[in-house]
Amino acid sequence: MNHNYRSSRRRFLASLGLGAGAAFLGPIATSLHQRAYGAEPTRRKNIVFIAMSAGLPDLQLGWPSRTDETHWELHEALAPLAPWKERMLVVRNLSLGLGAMQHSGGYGLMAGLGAGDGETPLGNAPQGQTIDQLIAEQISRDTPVRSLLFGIDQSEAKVMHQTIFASGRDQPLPHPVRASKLYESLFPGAAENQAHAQADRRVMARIHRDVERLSRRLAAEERGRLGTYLESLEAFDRRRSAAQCLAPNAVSEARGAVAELPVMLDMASIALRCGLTHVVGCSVGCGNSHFHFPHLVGPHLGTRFEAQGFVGEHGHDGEEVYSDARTISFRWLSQEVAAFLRQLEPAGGESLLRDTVVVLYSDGGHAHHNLEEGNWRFILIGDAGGALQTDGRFLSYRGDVPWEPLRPDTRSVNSLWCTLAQAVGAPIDAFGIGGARTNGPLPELLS
Amino acid sequence: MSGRSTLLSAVALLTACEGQIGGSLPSTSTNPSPSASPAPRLETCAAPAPGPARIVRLSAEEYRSTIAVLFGGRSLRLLELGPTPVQFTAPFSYARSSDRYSTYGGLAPVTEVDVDESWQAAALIAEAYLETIKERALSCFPPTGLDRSCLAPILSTIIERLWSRPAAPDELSGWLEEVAGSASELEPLEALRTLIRQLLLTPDFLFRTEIGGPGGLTPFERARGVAAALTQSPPDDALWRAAQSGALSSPQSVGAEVRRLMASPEELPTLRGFLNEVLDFRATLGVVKDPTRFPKHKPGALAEDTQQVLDVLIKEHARSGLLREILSTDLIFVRSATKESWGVQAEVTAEGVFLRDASRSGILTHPAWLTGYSENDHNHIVRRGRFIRERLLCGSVPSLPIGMVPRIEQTAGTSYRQKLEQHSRDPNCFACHRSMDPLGFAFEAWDHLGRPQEMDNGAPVDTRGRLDSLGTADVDYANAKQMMEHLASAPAVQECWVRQLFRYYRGHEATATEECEVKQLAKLYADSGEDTLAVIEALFVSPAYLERQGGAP
Repeated sequence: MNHNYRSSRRRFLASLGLGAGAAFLGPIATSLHQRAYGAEPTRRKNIVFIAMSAGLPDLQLGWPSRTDETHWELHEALAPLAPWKERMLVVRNLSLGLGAMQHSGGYGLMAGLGAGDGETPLGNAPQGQTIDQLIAEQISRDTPVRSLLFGIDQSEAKVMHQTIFASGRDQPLPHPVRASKLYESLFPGAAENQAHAQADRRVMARIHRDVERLSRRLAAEERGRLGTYLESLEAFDRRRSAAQCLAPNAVSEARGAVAELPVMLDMASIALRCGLTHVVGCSVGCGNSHFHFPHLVGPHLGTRFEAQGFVGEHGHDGEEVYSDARTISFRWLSQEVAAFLRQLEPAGGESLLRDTVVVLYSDGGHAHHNLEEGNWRFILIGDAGGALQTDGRFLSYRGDVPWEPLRPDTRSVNSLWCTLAQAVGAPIDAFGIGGARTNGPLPELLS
Repeated sequence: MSGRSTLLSAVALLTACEGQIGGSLPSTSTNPSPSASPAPRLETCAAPAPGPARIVRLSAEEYRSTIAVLFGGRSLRLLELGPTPVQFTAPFSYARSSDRYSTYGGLAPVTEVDVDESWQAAALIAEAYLETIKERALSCFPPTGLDRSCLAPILSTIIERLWSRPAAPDELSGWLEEVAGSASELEPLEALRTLIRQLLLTPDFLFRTEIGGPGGLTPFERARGVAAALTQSPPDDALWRAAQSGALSSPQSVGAEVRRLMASPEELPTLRGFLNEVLDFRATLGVVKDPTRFPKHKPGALAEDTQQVLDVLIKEHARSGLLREILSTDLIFVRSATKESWGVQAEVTAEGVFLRDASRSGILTHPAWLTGYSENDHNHIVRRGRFIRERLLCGSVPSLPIGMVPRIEQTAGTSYRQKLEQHSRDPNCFACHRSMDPLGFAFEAWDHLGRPQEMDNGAPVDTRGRLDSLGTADVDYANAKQMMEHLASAPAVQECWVRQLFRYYRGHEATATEECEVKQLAKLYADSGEDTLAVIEALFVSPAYLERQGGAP
């Protein structure tokens, strides 16, 4: 199997640092820049969620090459992350009952749905707020971008998608799955976007006028419904236009997961460095259906998938094929995450990773269906300013049964979410619908 | 009864009904189900009141078909509404978990997701449409300024195609001023692009208005509403002309157009859509069967098998006894890829063939439905029973409390039914299970792949059960065929069928004041020889639809 594949991406930050971009900084961004680089007395923490679709099997996690908590070996799928192994914390066998038979946890995973009834349309509709948004409400409330969400999708025609992030029940949050769209929304002040911005303002103004005109013909209740259009439009507009920060060169039009994810991760690193947000969510093909798994073209070369032309999900193709596909896919993702981590702590520059925790996981737990619900696993990189005991640890819990009564030693995904929230400055004691199956933060993970 | 006389009866019924009604048909049951959720009881059944003035958000399909009309013109026949010259993701495809039918989305709030998708789609469509008018439209921007008389007809065409109504003179002049304003800031091409985006994002396009005036809905509101409800498209040429000529002013004239659009019911996308949603046989696509253990399970093909049968039933029975046929037909469609699931021994072609199978009794005994209402590797008596309770009897069953995930483990020699019965005897479980399980036992004649079975896990299958809340006395049944016969004839099931039609085509639950109308429609259905199309027609000639209150012209 060939694991020497390297993407031919063009990294923004390699050629365009803050200095080069400073010419484009507006007053707000300058202020944000200053805050992010020491003018502010307290350092804000960052959290980055990177979720890969369809399972992170034990083998690729490194299990069972572990003799105790600190003696274990990274599997080749995660080998690119080796430089950060000592700042890594791996946890396996956390429980979360989803009660759904889909390929991924959909919204249920990050909404911390403690248990399902087997019929809840998880993935089709969010049942509650996802953890990234809860944290963002606390730590990103005064940043231009509450949370920077993006991802990739199998379909190269798609520009937006909603799969795993939600601000509340039945309130999915869309995210761009095109690098060019993320660029356009994050850097509307770029020169090439100016004409578009002017036109956008005219469109917005006209819709406002039309809504007001039509509202006058409606009774109060219907006016309210029409009003939601305006509210959503304004929220959308804020998200697009508030982020006046760096303006790197326009992204290339190259399409596909392999070409676009690195560029989007670069933009995420810019957003964190500029203080545009403190919360990043990246969905690598996550979602509820069978159709969103990214087709990786490039990493397939020299592998058993070469004739097929891509590496996909392959959950139905037998254990061996599935395992090979996961190794290749996670190897590719690990390379991209490693490049992202390097952006956060450039050689000779200030380390942003010091105040950050990157959470790498799969929306399908251990396998593409995750029916066992007792073995979700996560890789944490970075200790969020010393709040987490990472130190190269590998914790394997006993594996709870999600539908059994909560015990003092129950270790659930919801408890991990509480732990992470506390670590980055948004303390909570319970998470999930009704605080389902939460023992509060996990003390053994906190410093 | 002819379509014409049915319509007149419908109009008469909907405007002159009085009497005592209840939320559900009277039951002679001595042990009424606790799960039945009767609709509000009204003291008198008055004529349907005018509905509220409101706006209805487009569906994704309406959006797509309207864009097809933008590019292709209104003379396109419904079936010709194919792909547009531009690829885009139609907004409003997201369904709320609480919505019973996709059509409920018309009253859903516009979310940030919707705005995002609308915004992206508008940009793509504007770019592509601009290409089709660029040369002519740019000639309206001479160096001396915007030539309004040149741009006006181009603008009028776009508005008519997108909004399904002509622009009023003051609206047209307002939009021309908008373009002039844009042109003062932007290049002409960008100003035109902006104009098309504006027209695609204005609420006049994204929402259908049902506001009307003193005479009820305007002719164009009627045309757009009827077309959307029946064809998921803008008005076709004939309906547009009828609206233009003022021929849609009476309920009878609206009824005539409704009948015209339903002349070939098998081509009616919404009737197909309704049956897909109410019968939910495509649920099979979401139930995963291990392909290594069940390599011959082909859910997509099974769903298409059932669709083939439904298309025949629509064509032959939409005017009489469609529900009865759906619940009792022995017509099946089998192809070589699915014959094992059907348990058919005979040779069949890859393309498929219609057969009669006396062991099957209606769509709910097709492998598509049976597998859709099964688990990964066993039947799901409870879900199947719940389906009957909720979809055919319009009852309700409470959802499981959060945190409660009962698992029923099978042991050798014990059937799933036997294990379920043990579980259901638990006092905590009995109240809900007794309203579902007895309705689901009939389907144990088939395994979780839809194949006939006589043994389950080493124990003989037992397909006996009991039906309640039928609107007649409770009855025992021995097997699925008997159960379906009882259901097909039950007054409560027929009323529920009408209620489901009401919900789907009106796009919301019946309100307390609309309960009367549901009762009248149920009577119409019975009196018309179980004519499903007559019920649909009546929904759109009712004063509750044609007349509105609470809006301003």
